[in-house]
Amino acid sequence: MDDKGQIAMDFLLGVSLVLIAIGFTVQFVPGIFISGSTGEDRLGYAAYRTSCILTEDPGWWSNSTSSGTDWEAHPSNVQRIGLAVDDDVHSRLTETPNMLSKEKLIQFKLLSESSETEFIRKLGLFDSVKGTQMNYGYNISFLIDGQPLVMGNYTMVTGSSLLPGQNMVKMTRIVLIGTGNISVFDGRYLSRYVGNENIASISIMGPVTENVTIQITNFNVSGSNAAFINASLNGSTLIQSSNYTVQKRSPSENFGSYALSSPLMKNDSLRIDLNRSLFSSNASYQLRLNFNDVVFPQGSISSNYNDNVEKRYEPALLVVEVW
Amino acid sequence: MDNKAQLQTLEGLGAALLITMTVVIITQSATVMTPQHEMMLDVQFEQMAYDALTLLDVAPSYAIGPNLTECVSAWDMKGATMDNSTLPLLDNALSLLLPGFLYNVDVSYVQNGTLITKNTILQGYPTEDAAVARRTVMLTNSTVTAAKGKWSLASDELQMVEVKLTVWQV
Repeated sequence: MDDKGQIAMDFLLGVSLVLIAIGFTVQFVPGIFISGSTGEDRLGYAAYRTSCILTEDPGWWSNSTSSGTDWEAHPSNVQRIGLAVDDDVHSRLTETPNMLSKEKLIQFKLLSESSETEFIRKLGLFDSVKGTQMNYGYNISFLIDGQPLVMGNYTMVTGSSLLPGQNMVKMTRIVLIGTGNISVFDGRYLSRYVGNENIASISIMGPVTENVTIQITNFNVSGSNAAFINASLNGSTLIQSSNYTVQKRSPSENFGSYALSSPLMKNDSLRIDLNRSLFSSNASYQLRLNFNDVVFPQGSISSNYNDNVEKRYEPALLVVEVW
Repeated sequence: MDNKAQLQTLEGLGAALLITMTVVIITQSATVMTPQHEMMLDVQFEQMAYDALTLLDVAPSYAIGPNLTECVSAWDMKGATMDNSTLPLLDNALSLLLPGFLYNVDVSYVQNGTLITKNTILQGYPTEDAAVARRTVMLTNSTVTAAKGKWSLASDELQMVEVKLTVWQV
């Protein structure tokens, strides 16, 4: 047997160790610096873009003959989904970014449920990998005081929930959400119910489609025990929580719940939210608000809710999560 | 065959393996803050600041108290000291919109050809990752009168005021 040309075992071992070490280093070192961020910048762009379009754009629809920003009335021809309120449907942009329309929000929710593929395409929540569409995971929610907003029969949360350990990018926007109608009265000019200076009288024309919300600012306080006692409709006393809710705001706080007969200051605002089912027939309703130590001016004609009615907006958070 | 130096080689291999394992475990378990992460956080922060001012400007006056124009109109023209704001209405509205944040507000305007900048809400000195948002409002004699402010404007005069909001978190 020829002993020449045979490789030494030690040499072979040494060379393979070095090769393994080099292979490991090449594999491992670049991975240290990009760990966890592969494609994350793309997620960031998707989350940012989605949050911007939803809050700052009124959306767009068009067919062969017509177009406009009122896509909520033409959900089958929607081109772009945006939620901002728009006064002029042909303007292509809105003057009130961050103010979201209730009607658009409901259509947004319906669209996400009826055809999710279309919804994802319209919002651009996908990436193309070698020609095939890869959908991002997403969750879009609207929160008021940390709780998901409930609008009619819908909870305003869209998308799936995040799996643990997944990379996720989150964008939060502060928005105003239209939640119904409101009528704001100055307490110093609200008309008195005939015969009692402590009772305010407001007439409401039915039927109504939204809850009746009455906000009273500034009270003409006449004593030390100023308070709101109760409300009555066409003579019968209403029941708090089942018929209506009351909230109070003092100059230094936001609206919080108000217990009947608790103290009221001159600069406070009171918000009374009456259930719309109370005003179902085509008739005029007389609402009487009974106060203690609060005086309303003389007047034979009662203040009118419908003359004063405006859209009601509340501050909320829009949270877009993409993964 | 040479039997010397055998043990040192094995020890060396063992040590190298131990070091490598430690490095691998540490780099795998630690969250690496990449520039992308930080960029998203900065964007988020600045967006919150801009949203707060935009919201106050477009909001109908009953939704979150007075709007930005009304708040600035009511200014008493005095500078703020620490925690003693001269725009209390704006301070109140911002504290509701930006809970958990600290902020300063400056107003700038041109009067008789000179630019005047005054601090109106002072909550401290911003950290280096603070975000700045600006919004311009226009005041007239009637907005000032309605808000009972101290601006002296003629009945046909328009006053542009830039509101600068600096937001940070500690």
